Amino acid sequence: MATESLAPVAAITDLILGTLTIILANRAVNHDPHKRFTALLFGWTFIFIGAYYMIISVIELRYPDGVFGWSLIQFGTYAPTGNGTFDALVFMLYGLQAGINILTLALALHLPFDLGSGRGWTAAIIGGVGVYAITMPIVVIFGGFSITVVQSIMIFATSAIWTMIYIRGIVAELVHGDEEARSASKGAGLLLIAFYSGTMIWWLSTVMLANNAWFSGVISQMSESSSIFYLLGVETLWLSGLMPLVVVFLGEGYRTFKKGASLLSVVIFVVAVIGFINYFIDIAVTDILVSCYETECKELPAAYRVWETLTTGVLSFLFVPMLFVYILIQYRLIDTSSDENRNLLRIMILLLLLIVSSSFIEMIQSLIPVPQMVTASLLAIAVAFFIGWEERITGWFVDESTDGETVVGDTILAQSFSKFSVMMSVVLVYIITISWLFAAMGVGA
Amino acid sequence: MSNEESEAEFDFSGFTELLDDRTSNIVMVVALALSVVVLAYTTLDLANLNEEVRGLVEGDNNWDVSFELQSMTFQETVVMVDGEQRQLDFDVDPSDVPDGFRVGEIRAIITYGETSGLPADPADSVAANVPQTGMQAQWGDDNNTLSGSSNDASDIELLLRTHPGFTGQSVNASGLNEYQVLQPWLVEGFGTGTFSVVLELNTQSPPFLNDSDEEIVVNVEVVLFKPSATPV
Repeated sequence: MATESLAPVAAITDLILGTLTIILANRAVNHDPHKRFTALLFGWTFIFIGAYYMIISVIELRYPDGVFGWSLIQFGTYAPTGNGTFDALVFMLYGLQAGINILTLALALHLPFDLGSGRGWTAAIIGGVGVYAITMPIVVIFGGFSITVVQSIMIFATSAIWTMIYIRGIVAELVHGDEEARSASKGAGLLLIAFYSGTMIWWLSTVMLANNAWFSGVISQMSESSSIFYLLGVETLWLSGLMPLVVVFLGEGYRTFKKGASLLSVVIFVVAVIGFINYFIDIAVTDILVSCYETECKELPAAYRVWETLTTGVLSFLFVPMLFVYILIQYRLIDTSSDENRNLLRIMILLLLLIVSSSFIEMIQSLIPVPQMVTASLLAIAVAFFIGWEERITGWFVDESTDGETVVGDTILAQSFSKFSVMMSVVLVYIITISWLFAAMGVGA
Repeated sequence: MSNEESEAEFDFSGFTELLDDRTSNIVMVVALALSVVVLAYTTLDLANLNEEVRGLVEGDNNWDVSFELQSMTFQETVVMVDGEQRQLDFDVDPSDVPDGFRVGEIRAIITYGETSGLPADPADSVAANVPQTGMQAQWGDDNNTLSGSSNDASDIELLLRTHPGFTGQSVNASGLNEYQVLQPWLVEGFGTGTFSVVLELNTQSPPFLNDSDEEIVVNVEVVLFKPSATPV
């Protein structure tokens, strides 16, 4: 039973959303400059994530035997193959990952709160993002790929900032009775899920050490022994998902008890349950996870792949873009007041929903032998539903909540927007160029 | 928690505002402290695993594979007439092979004598061969003896190697662990099925006397082995 990859869908969705977000952010000259800049950060994060998934899709298509997981890039366990094109694509993934990491940190410093301000603040952010995105890929490619785990510190710091904002918001709401503080905890919670759900769904496996059993199989395939700092980096990455999950889960659990369920509480409970089930799945396949050194490398069962696609895949590839759009609109990061922008927004939302629903139907078809006529009908129903309820769906995304009012920041010079976009375009071209160049030179091989 | 437009170069009042609530700070400190505890024990566990795994991967991976041997025998006695060709089939059933054992090789010994009782009657001529059957075996192995003949009543010994690489002697192997080392020796299917021996008799008689038949005994020994590996 082969499952369809959702990476191409995620690539297309993220690239379209990124382009539209950047257009909307640049167009809204009268909009709050802090929100515009945050939207721009979001747009470029979309573009980098979209480019990342696009390269994953190319690898899946052209090198089906060379397909690998997210962990290979995240933990730097890659060993160059000597195949120039393949190596170049993987080098690009390392570069894009570094870009995503620094953009995420920059986002955490701006949303839901602007944690810094002043004349030099935005310039420092733009400069910091640029310097990091330019130097880090070189450091990783030349320093040995495992050095990439040093970024775990930054990933954890980003997670800690949003966790702190969540705690601040939930305590203010539930302890001090400040109802408006909910928008802070909701924003931070949703952002944590959007960026960390991939590690959150292994929360129980982290606590119960099942992740280590899995990683021991990865260690056995590495050519050299790993230092304690490297192992610390690996664990820090798991922890950056575990800590916010536990905090948000407890916070939302208490809030649900006091005030009833919300979108955030439902999502965090689902993620927590997936993590709970994942641990027992880990236990069931432990023999396979350690087979590379205890017996001989064995393939994970097809059922595991199906589960992985239906949880990690759907969550990361389909749900996260929707969450991003929800945050963008709910927090008024893009101006939805003008008719022109609202039309673009409608296109954005409908496109997202249609892509996601059609991919989901296709994925179900690849898992269960449903006749094509049935899935075609289901898609037609979805299209009819989205068109008929378009106004309502858009309204749900753009409801008149007070969340947008909480996102405020200092004035940003108009030229900063264009400078940032130009810089990120240059960074993107730079990552592609150096990856081709160094792969062709056989660096790391 | 908003930040007004600031004239300063850098203004981190957003951070200070974020950290100005005691209850929130206590919760965050507890979360961070618990994170440090989790980080410590998970890293320690991973470090131990790393040591164990690298010890296996980088250790001396040479093994001595030895074999415990058993055999299973068949015997058939036939009386053949002059010029006759006869095929004898011996079925090696997988259920007859003990647990953990595999079929290494099959030997066949064909014996006969001059039984006519006639004076000065020379030994008859017997030819034997092992035709290829559906049995999974090393039919092309150079060490096989798949045909033989005798005209002096000496035994004819035939040999078919069935399991790849099996000679009955211990062998050296390399691998990460016992399982990997033993894998080649645990492949099932070799040496089970039908093993056939085709016999052909040509009698030789003294002048004016008639020796037209002979009794031939075929002993088939199925050599079974159970592998075990010890690090060297």
